[in-house]
Amino acid sequence: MSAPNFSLAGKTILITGAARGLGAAMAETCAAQGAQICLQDLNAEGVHATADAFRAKGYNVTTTAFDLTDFAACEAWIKDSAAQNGGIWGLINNAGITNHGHVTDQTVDDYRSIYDLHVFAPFVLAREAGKIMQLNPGPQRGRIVSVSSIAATHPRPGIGNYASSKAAIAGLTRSLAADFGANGICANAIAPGYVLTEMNRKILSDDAFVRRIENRTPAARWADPAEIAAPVAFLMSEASSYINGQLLAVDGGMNAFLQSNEA
Amino acid sequence: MKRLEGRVALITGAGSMSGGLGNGKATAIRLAQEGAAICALDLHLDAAEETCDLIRAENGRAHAIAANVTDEAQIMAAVAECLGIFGQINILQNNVGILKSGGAMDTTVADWELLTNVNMKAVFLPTKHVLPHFMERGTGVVTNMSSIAGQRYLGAPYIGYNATKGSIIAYTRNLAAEVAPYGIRANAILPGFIDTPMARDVTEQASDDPDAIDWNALDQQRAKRVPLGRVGTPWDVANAAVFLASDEASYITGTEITVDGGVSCRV
Repeated sequence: MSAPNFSLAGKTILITGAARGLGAAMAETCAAQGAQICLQDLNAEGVHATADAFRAKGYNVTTTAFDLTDFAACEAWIKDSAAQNGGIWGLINNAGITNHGHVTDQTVDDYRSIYDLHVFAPFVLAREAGKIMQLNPGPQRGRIVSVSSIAATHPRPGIGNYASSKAAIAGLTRSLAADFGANGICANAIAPGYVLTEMNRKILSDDAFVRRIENRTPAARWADPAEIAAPVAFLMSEASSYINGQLLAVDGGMNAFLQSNEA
Repeated sequence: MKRLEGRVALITGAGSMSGGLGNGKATAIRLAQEGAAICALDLHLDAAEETCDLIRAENGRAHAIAANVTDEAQIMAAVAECLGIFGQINILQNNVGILKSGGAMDTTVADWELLTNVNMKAVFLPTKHVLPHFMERGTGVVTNMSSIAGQRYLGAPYIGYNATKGSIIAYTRNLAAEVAPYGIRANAILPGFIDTPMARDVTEQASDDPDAIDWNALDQQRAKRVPLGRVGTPWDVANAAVFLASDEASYITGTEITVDGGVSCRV
């Protein structure tokens, strides 16, 4: 009986927003399980430094610094990465930004700029990567994992553009699953809860908010980035053979829990 | 090192009907392949023993116990026996479930009581009696077998079964919220169309001429609805169970993993 295959040995995996935070953690976890990793970030200096740190650990890394809202550059990155690595197995749509504000203070541009990065770039990347993945020998031909958020279903006040774009990622994922499933490509999304990352530095400096999230989370703590990266690596592996079109909560139980009184 | 080295898993419904391969048996084998010692519980001792033999043939550790998940005394004794042999339990995999067809009007009270009694006690009783051990250790994982049928009608009337599978989702979410502060996780797996002995048995029961069933044609017909283009195997389900039982799922609790090839995400 064949053993479960969680290994990523020999698989080429592309990760956006990989200079720091969740993206860097996902890249490291995939590389530690044997993947060749292709890192993208807007921050050239940051992504090169992260790649150097990974190379020092013996990981096989390439980097490309560009703006994901340049969709032609997205297409070129996919094609170049495939050419350099002899194909693509996995794409992780991780890059994200925040630009919070009450609904009455936000403009269409506040929404559009976040949708460019969170929805349109993942769409273009998945479209191009899927065309290449489907050329892999089957039956399993590739994986797309996109980072949604608990905010997709449970926003806090003042993050409408972020939360609705993360809901769009979940919707896009189901359509990618429906379209690419026949090609042996699985598309899934994860919905992290609150994570100790650089992007959350501002809210992490608010002690009352930190405690409120702890009280709202059955696990009673924020996630470490590695705890978000490990499920992504599982969804990248052949062990997730029949999981397709899902939004997987990685939230310490937050989604299952509603306090009747504010702690 | 294997991801579950040094762990002990108690799996209910670990045997399969008529020597076939069901989700419980496949999960027991996969958990063992990842290094866990297996306590295989089943209503039928010979079925549990067969699973243990397969695990031992791959140099795994396994012990078979016969018990009925609706009998509290038997479950308490089984938990004690597992602890006596292996000294600890890290993973509880509640896999037992039975299937009966019937709609809202034609389901008999006897069938309703049987379905709710077996399928709901199958998560309630083993969990109730393993939790004190988990609490004492400050760690542990419970994984319950639900179904995509717990969320929707699948084209044939199985209202009693589907209601019990829906209740397992609610039970699991409540359990997770209650025990998370003690380092214990609980999640449900929702398999889609998986080729198991139980699924075949119920198809045969519903058929006027079971011998005439063309299984390949039936699979192909079902596979057309699945984005991945095939029905699932118990191994697909077992791999998800291994992941949920592992430390890689350390921040995943109170949720569901659907293993259905995408069938429930499209029309």
